[in-house]
Amino acid sequence: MPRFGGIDSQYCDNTGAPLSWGLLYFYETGTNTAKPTYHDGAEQYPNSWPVQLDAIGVPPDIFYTGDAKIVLKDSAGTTIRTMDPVSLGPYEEGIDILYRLGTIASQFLTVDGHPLRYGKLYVYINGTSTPKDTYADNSLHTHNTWPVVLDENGFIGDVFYQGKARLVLTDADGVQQRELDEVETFEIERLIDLIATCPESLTVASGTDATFTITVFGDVSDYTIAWYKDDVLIVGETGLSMTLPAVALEDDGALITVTVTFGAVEETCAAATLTVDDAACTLVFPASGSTIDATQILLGSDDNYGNTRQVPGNLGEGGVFKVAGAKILACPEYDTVSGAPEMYLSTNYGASFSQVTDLPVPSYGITNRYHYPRVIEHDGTRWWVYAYWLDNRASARYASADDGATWTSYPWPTDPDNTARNSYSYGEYGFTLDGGDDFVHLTRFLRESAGAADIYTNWCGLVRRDLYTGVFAEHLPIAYAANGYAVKKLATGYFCIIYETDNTYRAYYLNSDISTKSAGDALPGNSYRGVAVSGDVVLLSGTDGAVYQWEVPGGSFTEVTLTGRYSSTTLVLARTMVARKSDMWLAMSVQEGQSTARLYHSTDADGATWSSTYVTLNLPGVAADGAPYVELQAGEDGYWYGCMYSDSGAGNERLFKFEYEARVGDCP
Amino acid sequence: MARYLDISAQFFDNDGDPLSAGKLFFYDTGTTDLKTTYSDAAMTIENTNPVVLDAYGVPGDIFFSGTAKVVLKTSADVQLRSQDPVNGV
Repeated sequence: MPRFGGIDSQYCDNTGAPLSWGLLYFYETGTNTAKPTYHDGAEQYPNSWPVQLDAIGVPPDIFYTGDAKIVLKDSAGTTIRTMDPVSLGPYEEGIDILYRLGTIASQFLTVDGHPLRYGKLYVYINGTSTPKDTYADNSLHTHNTWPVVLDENGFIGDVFYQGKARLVLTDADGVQQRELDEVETFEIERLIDLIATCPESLTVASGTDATFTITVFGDVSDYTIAWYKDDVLIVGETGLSMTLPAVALEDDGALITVTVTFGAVEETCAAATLTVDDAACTLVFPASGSTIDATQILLGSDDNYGNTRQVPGNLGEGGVFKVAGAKILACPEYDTVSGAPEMYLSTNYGASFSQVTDLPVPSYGITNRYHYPRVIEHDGTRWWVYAYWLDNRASARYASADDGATWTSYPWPTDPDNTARNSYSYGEYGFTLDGGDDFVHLTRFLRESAGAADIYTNWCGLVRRDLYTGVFAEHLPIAYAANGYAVKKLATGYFCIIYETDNTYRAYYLNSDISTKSAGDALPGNSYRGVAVSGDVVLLSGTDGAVYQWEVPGGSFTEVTLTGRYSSTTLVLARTMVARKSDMWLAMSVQEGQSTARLYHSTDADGATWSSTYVTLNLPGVAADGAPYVELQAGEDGYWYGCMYSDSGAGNERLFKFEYEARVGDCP
Repeated sequence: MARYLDISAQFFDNDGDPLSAGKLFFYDTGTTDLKTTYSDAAMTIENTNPVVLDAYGVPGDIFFSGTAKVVLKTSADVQLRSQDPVNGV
């Protein structure tokens, strides 16, 4: 049963003086039939009829339901005013029902009819002495003080609360004026406005955290917050902010929503979109002076693979292997019976290897010749092996389109220009795919007997041929009576190294159609061990343990600074191999007798500047001895793949992998 | 249709004297758009807006639907206070 009137109910006469002992007559609406009212909401205790105000014009508790006619009279029975109908309830019950306390007429007066200046209104949870929150707005954003303090005119101001309340009114000095329970007037609609700001759409880099944030009105501790990703509840995220850790590219486009609930009121934000971009790549290098291990031995042991046919020291003279995605093709030896290279293949980043069928020996009419690979390439669909004949008289190409199950031999064709000249050609060390259906290699044009004038006689040249037929496309003589040692495809042409008859290694740059060549540039120290290229950047590994940068085209060699690298002496040999992984170069320096290598990384893309100190790499199993040949390649799995063998005949070849730099973000 | 204010409603000035001929202005909540109120529950008889208090600061019957903003002013149009939103009893 609803209460009639509120704590602000105080009746005054026409002069504003409290209506002492005034009378309230309740009738059924539109009639003069007395209507009962009660002192309690349970209708247990009927009020007197009429209901009499107290000495200061305040009525007792009055409850009734439905419509009434009410007549206010003074204590002498003189009617002051009448109101009909006055309807009460029934009101909706519930702790979430919002009420405004009082009306614009709620001005509290003292017993003598003056405003109750700075009176205090204590609001409690109904039936208790537990303070109850009140708010100055119906969106419940702003708490009132507790108690609520009347203004200087005794006005209550804006007071909103939820659920029934118990009220105690005191004057400014805390002297209680009156008390009321079961107060539930006047019901007002809650302004649903829990959320002040919704999460904004975010764009973050993959691998980083994505944090969405909302702000709310009022006291967040009153609210229940739930976050959703693509309409799926994110368990455990109940705060004003929500973080998705280390988002991935598959999170791109995810819709993030959040719901805030307060009692029966629920508000949901429009979805924010998560956009995930490729993260900028950040490389984290090992601390200078630290030591890392090459503990993953992929191939190799002290017993020469357990293969009795193995010829110690012939691991492709430096470990010929090629990493292509998850595949690795390695040739640690050649078959002393058939003369063909013997290959081992992994398709799982070196976790396991299987021996592939021996490659067929090309039919040159020459027997008892051994082929060992100089170059292994992979064109994206097949392996190409360029093998060199042991007695320096011929070479062969092999291709496998099915990852080593079957192989095709492509005998070196006769140079069509030389057929009439009683000459033959054979390959040298240099072989490189050119990105199309051709390859480019170095060929020595050697005339066995004197003949007619022949500009190719005893010349080494660069030749482009069809991969399968071997038919010439272009060819260019480079140096007289020379041997080719390396050819690499550059961005704008080709780089090659030729060992010439004056016992000098020279580097050449040739244009893309191999129609022109630069002047030969003598290698520093007349040394050569390996070459790595990227774009038009060439880094050369010398047999003196140094690394040289070569400017294209035809520039000079400049030694890069590898502080503390090993160096060859008269009696002790050192090697340094360099390789590139997308955006950095790595150099590995080894020395005879050492069981560790020294690693350096470039600090620029063209390999001109390098880390100031080295990181020590524990070599796998054995110390370098003899003339330690090393090879180094970058794997797509983030590892570096190295190979080392020593030519002392101990057979201590190792193919291994190690992790150097950590890559954070979306790294190539 | 709900009644606004009950029979106890009597307005006083800041000295506690009856707010004679005070004015109650009614607006749609959150706006300055005047809102119509009625003197009967059947909403057939419109009140003036503002509703003018009598000589003793007592308003007449006020009924309206929904929610309103109400502003109390003296007879000289000096604003005393305002409430928004308000509902009927």
